[in-house]
Amino acid sequence: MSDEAIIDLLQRAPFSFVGTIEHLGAAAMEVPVDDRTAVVYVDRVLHGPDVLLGLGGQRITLQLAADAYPPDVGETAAFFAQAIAFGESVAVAEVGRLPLEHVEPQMRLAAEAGERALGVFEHRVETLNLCKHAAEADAVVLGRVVKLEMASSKGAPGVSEHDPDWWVATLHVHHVERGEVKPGKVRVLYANSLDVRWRAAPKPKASESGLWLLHRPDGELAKVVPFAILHAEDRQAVQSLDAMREYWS
Amino acid sequence: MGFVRVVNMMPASLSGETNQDSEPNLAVNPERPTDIVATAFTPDPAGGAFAPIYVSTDGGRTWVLRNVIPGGSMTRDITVGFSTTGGVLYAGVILQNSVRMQILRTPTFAATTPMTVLVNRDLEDQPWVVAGSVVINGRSVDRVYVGNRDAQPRPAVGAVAAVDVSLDAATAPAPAGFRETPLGLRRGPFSLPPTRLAIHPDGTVYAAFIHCTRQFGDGNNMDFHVVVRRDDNWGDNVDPFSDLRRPFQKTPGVVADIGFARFNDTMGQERIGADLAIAVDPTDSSTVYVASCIRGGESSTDWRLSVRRSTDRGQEWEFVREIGPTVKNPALAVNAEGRVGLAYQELTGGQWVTRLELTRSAWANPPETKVLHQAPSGTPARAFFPYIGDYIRLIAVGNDFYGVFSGNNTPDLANFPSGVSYQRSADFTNRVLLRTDGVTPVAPSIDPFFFHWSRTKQTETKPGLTKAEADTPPKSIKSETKETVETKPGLTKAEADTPPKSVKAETKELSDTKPGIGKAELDLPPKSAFEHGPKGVPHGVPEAFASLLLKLSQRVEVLEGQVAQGRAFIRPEERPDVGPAHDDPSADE
Repeated sequence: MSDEAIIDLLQRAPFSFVGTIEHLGAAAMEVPVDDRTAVVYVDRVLHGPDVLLGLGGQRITLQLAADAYPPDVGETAAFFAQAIAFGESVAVAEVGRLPLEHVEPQMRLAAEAGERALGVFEHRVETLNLCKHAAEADAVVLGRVVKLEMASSKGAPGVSEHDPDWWVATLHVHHVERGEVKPGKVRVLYANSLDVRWRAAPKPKASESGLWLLHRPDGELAKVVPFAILHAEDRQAVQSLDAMREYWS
Repeated sequence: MGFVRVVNMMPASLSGETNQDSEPNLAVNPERPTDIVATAFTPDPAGGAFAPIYVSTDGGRTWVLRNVIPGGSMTRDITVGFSTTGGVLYAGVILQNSVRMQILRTPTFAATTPMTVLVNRDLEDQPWVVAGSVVINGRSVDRVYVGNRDAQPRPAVGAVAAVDVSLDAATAPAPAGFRETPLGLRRGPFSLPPTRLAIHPDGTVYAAFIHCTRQFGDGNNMDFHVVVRRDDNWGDNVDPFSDLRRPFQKTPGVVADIGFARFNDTMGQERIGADLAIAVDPTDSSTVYVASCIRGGESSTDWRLSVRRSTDRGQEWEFVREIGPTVKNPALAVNAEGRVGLAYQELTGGQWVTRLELTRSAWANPPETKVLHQAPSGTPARAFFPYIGDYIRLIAVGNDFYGVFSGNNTPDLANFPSGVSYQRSADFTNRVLLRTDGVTPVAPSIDPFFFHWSRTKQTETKPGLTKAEADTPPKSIKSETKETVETKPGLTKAEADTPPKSVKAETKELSDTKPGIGKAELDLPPKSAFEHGPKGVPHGVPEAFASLLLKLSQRVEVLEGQVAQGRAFIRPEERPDVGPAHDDPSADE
C-alpha cells in the first residue's frame, strides 16, 4: 500500500484508529443499528482532533461502509472515519480501511520519534491543502504591513451583525512569487469583524511580515482594492514558501 | 411555585472540548416532550462535513450530538422547531462562511441521516423557525414559518424583515411549499436582523421585527420601531400578514414600541443591537407579548429590556415589565395556563446572570424568579462574536417551560443557584473541568445549558451531580417526593409518579362525578387546539369528537365557575389541604 493511499484517506477522514471488531449488529451508544453497525475496541488512535485523542482503550460504535467487505469479529484493522454522534460514547462512520500491516511500520517509526502515529502524513496533507489553496490565489507575495485603515466604502454600516467591517492593509511587497504584482505597496482588503462568520479571516497587524496569498475581489469590492485576503490560510509563515515551490515544481 | 432543572448539554465524550458554543436554540416535540433538539455554534468535533444538533430523548437529562446538518462542520445562525403532530423537525440555518440560508427537514430527528434541504437562498440572516400542525380533511398538515432578514436587492429599501411560510411542509419535495413574504417594506432604510414569530392554534400568526427608521452618526446609531404584523389565517391570506393595521393606515402592522440602539456596540465581551421576542397566549389569541431591548439615548450605555402586552390582537400595547440597565436575549413563552415565562441574560456585578421569570398577572405582582446561572463575565476570553449569543429560546409545552442558554461552564455550585447536572467530566469540589480521563484539567469555555421548569420537583436538579450520580435518586429528594404524594390523598403511587397535568387531572376528577362523559372518552389523547380553524370550528374531525369537544368545553365552563366560587382549584397549591409551597411568599402565582 502506497503512502498516497494513506494520504488519500487522511484527506477524506478526520479521524482514524486501529480497532478490533468486538460485536457486529450492535452499538455502544444509542444510534440506529443494522448488520453493518459494529462495536469496536480502539487499540490506538492514529490521527484526529484533540478531543478524540483520548479514545484509545475505549469501545466505540463504527458504522461500516456499505461498499466494503464486512470484517469478522476479532479482526483488527486501521479504520478511517467521519464522526456521526457524540454522547457518553462516540459513533463514527467508516470512510476507508487499511490492513494493520500497512500502517504498522509508520506507527513504529512515529513511536520511536515520539510523534503522532500518522504525523508525517498529516503534515503532508496539511501542506498539500495549503498548496492547493495557494494555487487558486491570484498572487503570492512576501511582504510587511505598513499601513492599516478603514475601507472608504464600507457599504451600509451596522445593518447586520455579520457585516465584515472592511479594512485595508497596505503591504510593502518585497518579493513576488506568483501573480501580476510589482514589488512595492499593494493595498489588500480584509474583514476586521470578530463575528463568527469572519472569525478565521486574517486580520493583519501593524508591521506584521509574512507570506500572503492574494485574491482578486468580486463585484463592488474590486473597485475599492485590487486584492483581498478573506480565507483563513491567506496569511502564512514565510517558511511555507519552500513547500509551495516544491509542490509547484 | 415551580421547580427548575438545569443541565449542561455537553456530552461526556466531549469532556475535553473548549469551543465557544454560543447562541443556542431549542425545539421540544409537543406530542412527546421528552424528545428535544437544541443547537448552538458547536462544530462537528471531528471537523467533518456535517454540523451537529444536540438531541435528547429523555426530557433533556442527557444529550447526544448528531452530525446531520449539511454544508460544513459548523453553521452560523441556526434555529429549530418541531411540528405539533408527527414529530417532523425543521431547521433554519445560515451556512458557514456564507450568507446562504437553508431550510431543512427531517422526519426522524434522532436519526444520523442528514436533514433534507428544502430552501436554499443567499443574502439572508437569522432564520427563526416556528412550526405547528393543523388537521385538514383528517390529515395533519404542518404549518412552518421561518422568520428571516432578507437582503435581496430591492429598489429604495435595504434588507427587510421577511417570513418564509409553508402551509404543508411535512412531506412535499423541495421547496415544500415555502414562499417568502417581505414584512419590512415600510418607511425607513432597513430592518434589523431578528424576525420573530408566534403562532396560535386558531390560525393566528404574529410576526414581530425591528425596523430602523433613521440611521445616523457613524451609521451604527439608529432609531427603530418594534413592528408587529398579524395574519388570521395561518399566513394564507392573499395579502399575508396584513390583518393588523391602524385605522386609515395603508401600511400593515402596528408599532408596539419605539427605541434607539447603537448597533454592534459591546456589553462586557458581548455585542448588542437587536433583541426581540414574541409570544401568544395559547388560551387566547388576542393576548400577545413582545419583549425588546432599548438604549436610553446616544450618551447612554444601557440596554434595557421592556415587555409589552396587547390584549386586543396587537392594536394597543401596554408596558408591563422593564429590566435594566444592561440586559439582552429576551425569550418569551406562555403556557397552557396563561402563565408567561421570560428568560433573559443580564450583565451585572461583573457576571452574566441568566434568569427565568414566571408570572400569571403580567407582572402586576412580583414574578416567580429563578436564577439559572451566574458566572464571571470575563472568563473565558471571547473567541468571536457573539460571546454568549444573539438569542436564547424559551418554549412552553402544556404547563411546562423548556429553555436553553449559553454561558461559562465552570463547574462551580455558586454559579447554579437552581442546581445543575453535568454530563461532561467535572470536579465541583475543585471547580475544574476534566478530560475524559477524569484527571487532566480543561479550561472553562462557553457551553449550552438546557433548563426545564415544571410545577413538580424533578429529581435530577441536585446541584453538581454528574449524570451517574443523578441517575441514583438521592434520599432527600425521595422524601420530598413522598411528602408531595402524601399531601394528595386518593392518588395511587403510579398516579402520583406521573407528572400531573394539573388542569387535566382536576377535570378528570370532576368528570368522574358527572354522568354523560365516559372515562374512555376523557382518556382520549388530548387533541391539540391546532385542529381548530381561526374561529374555533373543528376542521375535518368526526362529529362525535366535535360533540365531545363541546361537552368538554361545557365542563371547563362548569369548572371555571366552581373555581371562581372556591369549590374547585386549578392549581394544587391553592387547595387548603395542600397550601402554597412558595420560595418567595410575595412571588406571583
